[in-house]
Amino acid sequence: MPASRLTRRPSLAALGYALFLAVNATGAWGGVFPFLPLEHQGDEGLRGFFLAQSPVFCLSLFVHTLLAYRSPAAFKQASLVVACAGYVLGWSCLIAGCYLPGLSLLFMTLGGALIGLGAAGYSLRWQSLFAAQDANEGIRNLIWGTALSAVLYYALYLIPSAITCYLMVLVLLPLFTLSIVLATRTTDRTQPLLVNSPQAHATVCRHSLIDCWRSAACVGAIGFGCGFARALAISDPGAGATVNALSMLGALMAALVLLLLWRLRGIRLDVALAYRYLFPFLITAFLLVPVLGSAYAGLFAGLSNAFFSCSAILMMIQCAQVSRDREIPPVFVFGAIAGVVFLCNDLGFVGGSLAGVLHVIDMRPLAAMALVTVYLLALVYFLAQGGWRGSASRAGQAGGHAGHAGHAGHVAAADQSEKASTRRPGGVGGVGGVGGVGGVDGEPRYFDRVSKQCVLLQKHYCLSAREAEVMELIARGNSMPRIAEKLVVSENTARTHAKRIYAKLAIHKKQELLDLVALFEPQ
Amino acid sequence: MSLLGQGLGFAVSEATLALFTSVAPSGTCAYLVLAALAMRHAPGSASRAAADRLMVVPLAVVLTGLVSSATHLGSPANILYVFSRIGSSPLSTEVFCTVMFLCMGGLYWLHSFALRRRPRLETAWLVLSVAAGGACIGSIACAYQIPTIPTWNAPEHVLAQCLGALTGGLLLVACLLALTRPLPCKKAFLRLLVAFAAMALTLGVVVLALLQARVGALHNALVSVQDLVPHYAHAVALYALCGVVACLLVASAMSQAPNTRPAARYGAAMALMLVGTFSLRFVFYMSHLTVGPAF
Repeated sequence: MPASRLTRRPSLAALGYALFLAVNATGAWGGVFPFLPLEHQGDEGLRGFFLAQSPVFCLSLFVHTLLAYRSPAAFKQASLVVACAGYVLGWSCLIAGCYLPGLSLLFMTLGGALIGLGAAGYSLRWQSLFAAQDANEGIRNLIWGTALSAVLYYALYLIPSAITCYLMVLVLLPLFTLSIVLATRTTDRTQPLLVNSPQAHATVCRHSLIDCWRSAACVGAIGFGCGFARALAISDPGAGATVNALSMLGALMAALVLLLLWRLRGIRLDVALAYRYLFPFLITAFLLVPVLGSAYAGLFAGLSNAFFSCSAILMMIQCAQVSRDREIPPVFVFGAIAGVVFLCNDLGFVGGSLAGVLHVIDMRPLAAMALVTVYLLALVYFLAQGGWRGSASRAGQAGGHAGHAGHAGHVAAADQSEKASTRRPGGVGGVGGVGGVGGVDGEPRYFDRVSKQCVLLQKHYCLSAREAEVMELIARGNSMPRIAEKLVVSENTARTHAKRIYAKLAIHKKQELLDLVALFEPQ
Repeated sequence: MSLLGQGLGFAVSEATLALFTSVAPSGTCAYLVLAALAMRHAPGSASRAAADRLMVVPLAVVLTGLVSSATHLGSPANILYVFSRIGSSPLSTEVFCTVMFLCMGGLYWLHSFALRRRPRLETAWLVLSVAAGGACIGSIACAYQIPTIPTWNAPEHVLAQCLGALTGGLLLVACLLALTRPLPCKKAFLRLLVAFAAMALTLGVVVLALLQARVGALHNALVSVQDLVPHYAHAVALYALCGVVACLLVASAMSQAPNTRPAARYGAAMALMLVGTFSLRFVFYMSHLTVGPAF
């Protein structure tokens, strides 16, 4: 994508998403309410809030996934109303707790459950919107929104704390709800990914989830670590606001890094690969936990949230891309994946909260918990690289291609180039998913000239990963039914991709496509 | 502490209220003008939609003022105390009226984005929000009519506040409309708005001069108005100067080519208007002279 398109001023959707994230950070992040009086945030109340909010949030994501699978129409009608009502009532409960200290625990618990419900509904709506937008526009809004959310979060401190919680319900919530509604109106609501019934494409749905599980495990492991770090940092409720501020700074840094990477090289959507790059930093950060102790907690929370934000953005982009490519509802894909990820995050938070009291093995509790987290991160690293099968594959490649580092699932043999063209690096779909892309060193590897030409065309004409795959398959002489079969999509979907490719390349015949692939030379 | 320092200290402690009373009446007045403009067009028309959408700016201005005035509340729990004294306390009443106006105006603005329109309901709601806006301006202007503070207890204050709101509000609407494309009204209407703003400014300065003549000589056993606010005349002069320059800036920006949008000039004009009005409100709070042993 051209850098200029990313550097345009933020759109309404990006601003609305930023506002949602900023408001969410003041309530849905368990354990910290920077804009509610500290005296109303007793240990019991916070525990009640978290124990209600987290399960309801994750459960709500899974229920939405199920609803989107079984009854997409019902989901479309109810989701925003339910989300809005949940958020308003949840915040009302938190505010009511300030006036009725005797019922504070009840209100905090009830508020937690309702905010969890609302936050899940809004998250799914945003994801649905970004997936329904043009791929580049959706990614741009997502990254800009995350970056701006930190700025807006800090701006909330300019508001007198006595009325911030009221403003959230009465002003900010209507504004970001309105922005979703208005931005949604600008999208094409007849797109297959929004109207297709997942139940009618059960195989495609199943394959989508299978393709995404490694990414979900990677982001979930980082989420676990992030939850752990956050729980350590807010063990002193007074430090909660600082931890939140540092965490938002982490999110801002993550978004800016992604923005910069996009401008310089373009984002390569490979969560497993990103996890591999982040892995050394993650385990080093966790190694320092028992050494540096609580003095390090705030910084550690901010740092781990930067990692988590970065991977969560990639996860959202990936889920949206899978929805576009497979033409299945974004809510279905994102609900399932995000449910797992945030469940891991919550488990990490619970683990971190218990780190000070549990004595399971003969180690300091903090060190034991850090060890468990590092173990989990390492285990996911192993799985993300293909597990036992990946190791065997690498060993085989090392034997056959001396001097070349192998990559799980990479098939270098020329006779398998066509097969490789339909494979996505790390088992995920997305930008840069054309055959041969995803070498270990991060540089593209081409299997033949057709692959290389297709990559060049994809970059030049801003084709999506799926469109590039379809284009390459067409260029290799595959028929539409064959392409549909290879990509595990319906024939109609394959034809839709072909139409979009023709439109983007401004061609009308297959021969023109073949000529373009053969003769294209970027300036 | 010197007497000047005493007045200054009081005004500084009430600076957020000074900001509220500077921007909220002007924002409300701008909303009323836009509402009048909206009512001239049929619901669903482009001009009506443009006027409706612009209402968010005056509402944001009023909200900013209200938020700034809440700095002294401390905790959300204290908000109940504010609302428990509606009617008996002028300050509680002005906050309540402002909140009501914001709720009604905000709901109207939100509804203006609805795809399914209900023209009668829209018009009725708009009329109600206009009434709430009128009550808001009235309550703010009358909030300081306190018998025990003779320097504040003068009808000229109410009049000056209303004229100040009119000046700022009309200029704000002129700027907003001039920046909207396509222009939802005739250009002559914009010039008329600026002319009315200039007239309101002139009248306001006259009223302020009359006010100075009435309360300038007041004093009690300890202090006089002259001691508390020795630079009152300068503040009025600054207000007049800022107002005149703001009107000229808006008028000159309007006379530029239609395809140019001199937003910087409009922004500067509104900033000047804010500076002038705030300085006036600041010296108003400096003139806090309790009756006590007043003569």
